[in-house]
Order: sequence, then C-alpha cells, then structure tokens
Amino acid sequence: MVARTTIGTLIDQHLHAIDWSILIAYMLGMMAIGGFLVTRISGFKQYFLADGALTTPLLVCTLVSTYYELDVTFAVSEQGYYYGLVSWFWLSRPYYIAIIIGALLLAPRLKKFDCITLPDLLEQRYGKPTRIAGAAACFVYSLPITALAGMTIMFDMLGWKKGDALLISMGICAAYTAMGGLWADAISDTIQFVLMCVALAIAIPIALNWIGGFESFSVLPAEHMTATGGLRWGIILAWSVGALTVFVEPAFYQRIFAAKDSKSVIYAMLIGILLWAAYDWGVTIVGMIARVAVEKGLLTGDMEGKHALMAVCMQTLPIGLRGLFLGGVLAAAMSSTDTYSLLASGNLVYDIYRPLRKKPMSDKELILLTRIGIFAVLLFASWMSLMFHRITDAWVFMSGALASVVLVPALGAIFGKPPKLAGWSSACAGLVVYAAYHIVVAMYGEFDEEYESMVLRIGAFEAWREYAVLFALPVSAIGFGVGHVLGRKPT
Amino acid sequence: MMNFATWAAVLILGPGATAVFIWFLVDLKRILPKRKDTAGE
Repeated sequence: MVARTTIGTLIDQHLHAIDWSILIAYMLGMMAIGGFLVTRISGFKQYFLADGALTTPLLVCTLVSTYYELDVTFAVSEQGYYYGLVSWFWLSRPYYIAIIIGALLLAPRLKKFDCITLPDLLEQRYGKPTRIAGAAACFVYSLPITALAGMTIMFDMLGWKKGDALLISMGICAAYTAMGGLWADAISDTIQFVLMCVALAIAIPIALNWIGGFESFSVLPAEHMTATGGLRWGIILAWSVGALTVFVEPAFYQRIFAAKDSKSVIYAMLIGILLWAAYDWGVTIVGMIARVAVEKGLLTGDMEGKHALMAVCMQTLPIGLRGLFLGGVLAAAMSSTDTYSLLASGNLVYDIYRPLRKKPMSDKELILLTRIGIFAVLLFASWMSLMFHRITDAWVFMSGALASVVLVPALGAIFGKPPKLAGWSSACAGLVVYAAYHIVVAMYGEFDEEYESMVLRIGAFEAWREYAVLFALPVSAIGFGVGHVLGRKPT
Repeated sequence: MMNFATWAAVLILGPGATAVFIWFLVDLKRILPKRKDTAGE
C-alpha cells in the first residue's frame, strides 16, 4: 500500500547517500569539463562557435538536451496532467514538422552565410537598426527564465532552501560555461542528454507499474485520451504557432554555424526528432500517470500540474535511481541554462554593445565581457522568473516576442534579397503590435480562473493573452510587404 | 497505440540515447581542440 503524499513535504528525507553522491559527482563533472576546456580557447569564434567543428553525435546531444529545458520536462507533463495527450499532439508535435523543414531547407542555406549569430545575418541584409531590434528580441527569448523557474519548482518540492540551491546550480552552470564557451556547453550537454533520457526511460515503466498499468487510464476524463483534449482551437493554434520559433531559434542558428558541415546538422536534427518525440511522449505519459494517481488517491488532490513529474518519480523510484532522476532533471535545466545564458550574453556583448561602440573590440575583450555577461544574465533571469505564475506563460511570452519581431525578417533574409526597409518595418510592426496587445489585455482584461490566464472579452469575442503572436505575426508580414514595395532594392 | 508508443519511447530513450552517447565518445578525441601551448605543434 502506497502512502498518500503531500507535495513538498519530507522528500529530502528520501534522498540516500548514494543519491547525494550521484548529484555531487554530476556537479563536479560539469566543473571539470569547464576547467579542462579553458586552456584550449584562443579566439572568440572558438569560444562562441567551437571553431565550427561540431560533428553529428555532438550536435544530436547538444540540440536535444538544449531544447529540453524544464519548460518541456515540467510544462509538457503539466499539460499532460491537465489535458492529456493533446500535450504531445499540439504542444510538441508541431515542433517536429518545423524541425524537419528547418533541417532540410534552412540549414544548408545558413551554412553559406559567414555569420556567428542570427543578428549578424539580419545586419548583412537590413543594416544595423534591424540587427539591434533582432538582437533585443533574441535576448528576451534567450533569457533562461523557464529553466530557472523549473529549477525553483524542483528545489521547492525537495524542501531545499531555494535561494541557496539556485545559487549553487547557477554558479556551477555559469562557471563551466564562462570557462569553456560553446565547447563546454556542448560537451556538458552530452552528459546531461544521456542522464535525462535514461532517467526518464527507467522512470516510465516503474511509474506505470505503480498505478496498475494502462488499464488505470480509464479513470481519466475522456478528453484526456483525445488529440485535442477538449481545448479551444485558439489555444491549440497559439501552442502550434510557437513551433515557428524553430526557424529563428538562436540555439539552432548557433549550432548550425558551429557545425562541421550542413550534412552533420541535417543528420543530427533528423536523429534528434526521434529522441524529442520519445521524450515528449514519455513526459506526457508521466503527467497523465500523476493525474491517475490523484484520481486513485495515491497523490494529494490539490497537487498542481507543474509538480506532476517530480511527484510521480520521487514517489516511485528506489534509492540510487532517485539521485539519477534528480540529476536528469537538473541536467535538463542546466543544459538549457548554459546554452541560453551564453547566447543572451553574446546578444548583449557581440550583437548589441560591439556594433554600437566606436572602437573595435579584440577577441580577448569579447571573451572577457561575454564571460562576465553570463553571470549577469543568470542573475537577471532568476529575478524575471519570479514574474510568471506558470512556466508555460513565460515560454509563450518569450517565444511570441521572438517570432513577432524576427521570424519574417529572418526568413526574408535567408530566402531572398529584400530591401533594407522591409526588415526594419517588419521587425518594428511585429514588436509594436505584440507589445500593444499585451499592454491592452493586461490593462483592460480580466483573470480567468479556469484557464489561469488574462482575457479581454468584447461581446462574444475573447482576446486571450496567448493570442498576441497571432495578431503580431500577420502585421509583421504586412510590414515586410510594405517595406518591400517602398524600399530601395539592393544592388 | 498508447502502449506501443510508450514502449517505443522507452527503447529510444534508454538504449537509443546510450548508443548516441557512445558514438559521441568515439568521436570526441578526434574533434577536441588542442591546448593553446601545443596548438602549433
């Protein structure tokens, strides 16, 4: 008989010395990677792009683990808990389609540009103002807010002191990334990749056995077993549009520019889709298992969805495997935190500060400032992470901002030779509409208790906060068209 | 379908991810950057 458990109580007492040893060994291993690589970095391109030497297996590991920050590990299981299989079908699956298109169409073209970052590409086509606007949007998107929010949830549940635990994790993450740049990021990602995948592979059968197998899913609401989960199509569309960020995903661009050749990227992304799909499916199933456990009285009924994965795994895994699982969850957070703190720092130093400064910067200065920037970014992101109630809210806001400002200009730059005005007017139009929509909904809308989101109701029309990108993106496209007609054609 | 997809996911995440990791280890020595003091040798 399994005891009924309250979230966040006594979980730390369940950690055995073996579990702690695994966690400490993992943390020390990450530091050792940074220390090993710091003596091998000599220029900014080597620091930020690993000298363009990444091969297929390294790319698979770094792409998969980076994209799986805790917004997936917790938010997909959160959605699986509340809504069921729709989480996989409409929150995750659109990304695979976007990744296939990205791998086959974008990667080969991008490799032909001599760029280090996405804003480099925007400047080549549209000039400096569009570069700065794009870099600012990339910076907002790259802030590791969701990863840090996920870590906070984890520490909260374990009963650890949140501030201390977050400081130690962030400190280790910042230290090895600052030391080794993309090399340290990519190699640590591979360890994190195998840890998070294997931990989940072990947890699924044990958790299924705990609730009595798939037959127990019959206690779930019928909508949980459908592809749409009974959700409004507007919400499903807003989730799916998030997949468009793959085409402007800064980590994706960085890894394409860092790849040995375009074939390595294509193979890596195609292999990665299998792993992404398996991971998403596994996490969704664990979310549903948590809901079954609540229905059966194995877990407390007032449990929040974002706790689903942790609650199930901590309740079911034996000593040793619990440490492996916690290492895996921490790895999922750290693999994204290191990548995005490096990218956000690069946005500030390389993409914004460097072009605005009159005096040219040496590689040594760039590396030093980027290293300092990593620590600053992490502090700023941890403060920002307190402003969002749900991880999904943060993710929808950040991905919406990136898509609204950068998507249309970036695709225009990759597939054509538009006038400079097209990129600038598109980025500005997207930004203005996206910001205005959020401000109007926040000022005049109301909080909906059922969906835990802001909505502005005008008669029968409902403007949900999540719809911002659905308005901003078409306006950004119109802005691009207007700029195309009015702008001077490039020679 | 759910049963099959779940076991397929377990196989991909367990043995599949481990195979990719071994591939990475085999590849690592070849691609690692040299130390700064021996890079020119």
